[in-house]
Formats: sequence, C-alpha cells, structure tokens
Amino acid sequence: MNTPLSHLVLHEDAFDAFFIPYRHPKSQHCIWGGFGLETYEKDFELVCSLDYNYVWTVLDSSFDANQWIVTGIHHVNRICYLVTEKPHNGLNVEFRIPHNLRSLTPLGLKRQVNKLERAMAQMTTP
Amino acid sequence: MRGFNPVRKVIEEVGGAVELLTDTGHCAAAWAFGDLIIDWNKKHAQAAYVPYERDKLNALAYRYFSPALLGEGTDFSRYLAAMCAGLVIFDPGSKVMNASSAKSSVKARSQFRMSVKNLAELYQKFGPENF
Repeated sequence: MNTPLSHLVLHEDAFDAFFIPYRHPKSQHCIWGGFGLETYEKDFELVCSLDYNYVWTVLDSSFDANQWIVTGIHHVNRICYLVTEKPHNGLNVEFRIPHNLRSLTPLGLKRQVNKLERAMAQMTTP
Repeated sequence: MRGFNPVRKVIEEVGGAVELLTDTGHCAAAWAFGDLIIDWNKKHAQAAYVPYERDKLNALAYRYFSPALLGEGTDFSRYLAAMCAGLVIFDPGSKVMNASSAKSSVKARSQFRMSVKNLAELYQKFGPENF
C-alpha cells in the first residue's frame, strides 16, 4: 500500500531541471526571462486554453521576499504564468524562489529531482 | 529616472526610462517608459489587494482575509512619482547561470516593490472593501 503523498517544498532549480519550463511560441511578452506568460489579454487567454497539467503560476509571497511556483492557475498575488514540457498532474508541490537567488549544489539538486521522480511515480502507481 | 519631472509629476521625454547606472554613469539596465506604461495600465488600472496566509502544513491551502483593498483609476505618472519619492523600490534579482561557459543564461527575477501602506499613492480611488 502506498503512503499518502506528502506536501513537497522544493527549490526552483529542481523545477527547472525536472519540469523544464519553456517559452511558449504564442507568448506575446518577454517576462520572467522570456518564459513568463502575462496575466492579461492574449497571454492569459493562451494560459486558459492550455492543458491545466502543464501550467504553473509564479506567486509573490505576501509575508517574505520569496517567490513561489505553484501548480495550476492562481489569481491572488500572481506575477506570471509558466508552461512546462512535463505535466505536474496535480502533484502537491511548491517551488521556492529564494530572494537571495542561491542555487542548489549539484548533490542537492540531484536529491530534489529524485524526490520529484519518486513522488510522480507514486502518483501514477495504482 | 530619465525624462520625468518629479516636481510637476509629468513625463517630459517620451523616450525616457527608468535606468540603473554604474558609478561612472554607464547605463547597465533600463526599462523604457513606453513599455512600462502599457504593462502598468493593463495590469493595475483596476486592482484588488487581498491579504492572505498560507497553511504551512498542508500545501496549496490558503486563507483570505477581509477587507480587500481596491484601487481604481491609475496613471503611469503616479507610479513614477512614487518611485521618485522612494515609495517604490527596485528589488534586484538577476541570476547568471553558467557564466563562464558558452551556454550562460540569465534568470530575470527583479521586481519593483511597494509597501501596502503606500498603495493609495497610485490610485485616484483606493480603500477597503469587505467581502
């Protein structure tokens, strides 16, 4: 029997490495390093038209200077939306973008990616 | 701030920009008024600011609090005036990845931030709305 999936809080580097965000060819703006989709007009229409499982929201934290990447489409405190090559399938995960922009070590990144692989595999296992 | 008169609170140079300058006066980064105006008006003409807290044990669970703060009627000059007054601050966040390699990349995470207590400066009408 599988144990219930726990909530994962991981680093942005793990998000980049595992889910692989990309610039959508129909993106109208150049934000968030080119990957971001805006919260209005054609970009937002595009976001709403995409498969929910490939869409993420970048949020600004109201209680610290960090930013967060969370699954799906959110409205409060949104900065922009992202789209990834791999689906999240509703995984219970949040990725912290630390205000100090510190990166994970290669070992730390590997550990977090392994956690993601296990969690995703657990989701697909009946 | 190039092209904005903070005393009269008007844009005097259409091609002006918010610029980051080095100690020697070299422009290291710039945000053109033309681009900022479009984004600002579209994103903030009617804005709701909703206080919330996150459930720290159960992810993706949030609680929202009343009242929300509603702002209506803004223009870009208000934003620039607030920046000149030091109410809007630049929060730098550019991260260069693999800087010494041919495949270097930049993560653009910079933001312009403002304290909630000063938000009224940006709007013609601003106040709490219970829900």
